[in-house]
Amino acid sequence: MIQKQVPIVFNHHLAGATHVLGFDCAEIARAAAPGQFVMMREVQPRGYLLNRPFSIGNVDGNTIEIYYDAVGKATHAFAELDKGDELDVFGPLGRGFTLETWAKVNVLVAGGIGIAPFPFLAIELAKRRPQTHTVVLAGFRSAPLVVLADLFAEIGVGFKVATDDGSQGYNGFVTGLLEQELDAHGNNKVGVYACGPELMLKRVAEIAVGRDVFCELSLEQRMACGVGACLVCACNTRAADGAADYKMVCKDGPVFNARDVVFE
Amino acid sequence: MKMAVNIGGATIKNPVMTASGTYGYGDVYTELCDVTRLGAVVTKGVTLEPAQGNPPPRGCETASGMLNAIGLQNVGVAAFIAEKLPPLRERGVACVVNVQGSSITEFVAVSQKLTGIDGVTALELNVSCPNKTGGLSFGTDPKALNTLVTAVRKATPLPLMTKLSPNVTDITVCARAAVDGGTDSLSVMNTVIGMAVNLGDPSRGIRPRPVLRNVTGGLSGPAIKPVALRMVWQVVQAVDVPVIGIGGIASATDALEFLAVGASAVQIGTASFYNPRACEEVVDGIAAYMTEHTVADINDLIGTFEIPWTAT
Ligand SMILES: Cc1cc2nc3c(=O)[nH]c(=O)nc-3n(C[C@H](O)[C@H](O)[C@H](O)COP(=O)(O)OP(=O)(O)OC[C@H]3O[C@@H](n4cnc5c(N)ncnc54)[C@H](O)[C@@H]3O)c2cc1C
Ligand SMILES: Cc1cc2nc3c(=O)[nH]c(=O)nc-3n(C[C@H](O)[C@H](O)[C@H](O)COP(=O)(O)O)c2cc1C
Ligand code: FES
Repeated sequence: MIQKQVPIVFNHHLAGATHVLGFDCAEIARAAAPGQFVMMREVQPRGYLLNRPFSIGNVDGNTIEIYYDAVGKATHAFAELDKGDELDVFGPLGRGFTLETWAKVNVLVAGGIGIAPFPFLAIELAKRRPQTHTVVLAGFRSAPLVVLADLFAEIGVGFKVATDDGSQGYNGFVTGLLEQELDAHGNNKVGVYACGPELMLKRVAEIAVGRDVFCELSLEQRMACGVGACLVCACNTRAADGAADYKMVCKDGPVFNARDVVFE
Repeated sequence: MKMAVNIGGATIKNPVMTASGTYGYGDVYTELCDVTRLGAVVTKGVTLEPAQGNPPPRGCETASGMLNAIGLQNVGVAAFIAEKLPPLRERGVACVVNVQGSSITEFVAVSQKLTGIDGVTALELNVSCPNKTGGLSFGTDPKALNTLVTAVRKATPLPLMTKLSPNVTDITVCARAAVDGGTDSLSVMNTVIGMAVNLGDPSRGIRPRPVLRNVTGGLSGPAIKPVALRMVWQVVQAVDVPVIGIGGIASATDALEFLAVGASAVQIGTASFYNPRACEEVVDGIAAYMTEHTVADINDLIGTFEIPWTAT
């Protein structure tokens, strides 16, 4: 883990609220694993105080890529930054995805900006487990909001879109697409990784656990510190004996086994 | 340059401590900040049994601060002594254990278990317990506070700090109640009760609702500094024990302001979240200030505040 002021090397708008930002940091690039995140804020924050958590979207040489939606104070401010501006960053943080599984097919399920950690995961899966096949199932509200199709094509993995309004790809939620995908494969050869809104993750967990396939979820929770100091980012999990057990998303996660997560 | 201060029987090498609940058990920022340079680490509040705390969401940012409703989540006193304390002791870090409980019996039991344990520098009683089910509100009821401090005082010879709640009309009444009960020092202050509202989405039938699951939470960060300064100043005038200033301290300048109004030491909380090196920077900044102003002993800075005009 390192804390540093780092220079932005690019920052552009992609579609809808979604942007991509790259900053240079050799130390984080060297240490990062898919599913981990960084805490980030402007060097002189405008109108806010705390760092915000963002998944490590991709690593290209010394450049860390972040895919983010401008939704509030900090992220709207990020969208105004330019190449050469500096960010205050620390990371890499948290526990990432398990890369070594029995799966022959890796199914990455994304809801909206939940797609953020998947370029890095897809690339590392291709590198470390070249004998496996990877497909990204990405849900968006509508066709104009679809992002990263080109990038996943470049990486050489499958990319299937679901839209809530049916304007592109599968008509409906991405979890419908997941059921189709699982029907098409033998369940026991599939590993599912999911990131997105809580309701989507809940449904993904039901589907995957119901079919007894390996499934990891990247959870989101409000954070203050990102390192386990404040205990703000609690999520409800099940302990080995079945009892409720609060875990910290920043330290024990953000990636959890779907079997251990308790949804309300 | 002398930076050591004595806090009611506990001598610490400089007046900068972490605030309870913002630095884990001194184990979370080891890669980013050198804890051995701090006066003391104050731990997350410890209860008799391990506790889970409140359901999420437990925190959110507000203007110049944040709200939290963690509840009592901690490993429990036995695990604290077995697992959390030894690394601090081995590194020679002074450790103030923040003690929490929902009854006097629990406060006493936790304090007794920590007595005689090598590496415990002092106890800090968290009497502004956010546990909603606990019947007694020690921090806002001077009589209950006095009874609690008296009971713990009898139970342990360890230096005792009592951490006061700002959620009262007159903090000096609580300060005196704790001093009469035998506390060696006072920490001022804990978080200010606040709340945040999510407006929802009326067009989709989602009504306004609290942001925190607990509805209310404790406000901390720069937003509360003026309140904390005022309360420290009032308490310093009201009692004769050392006072530790807490609330919104993020820089050496902030810390020096608290020392000026009479605090013997400070604690840094929320600032560590957005600047993990905040505590170390405050130690360095105070030292730089002392060099610049040729102050040989930090104790010469404490309580130097004066009001240069007379009341009309
Ligand atoms: C481990 C982790 C990884 C993340 N990775 C990414 C990522 O790669 N890309 C990305 O765009 N976002 C990501 N997020 C979410 C991102 O942190 C929030 O969008 C960001 O903090 C919002 O900050 P803001 O100041 O712009 O919004 P605020 O002004 O704080 O809030 C704006 C709105 O966003 C909501 N919000 C704020 N924080 C969160 C949160 N943590 N979770 C859910 N809702 C929130 C608020 O309730 C409010 O409605 C991640 C979150 C976590 C916990
Ligand atoms: C996330 C969080 C957890 C806290 N937990 C405790 C605690 O367990 N015991 C306690 O006495 N104070 C606790 N506090 C209060 C702080 O120690 C401190 O009094 C308060 O945050 C004000 O200081 P600050 O503005 O520098 O943060 C907590 C504060 C925060 C933000
Ligand atoms: S964000 Fe502070 S403990 Fe997770």
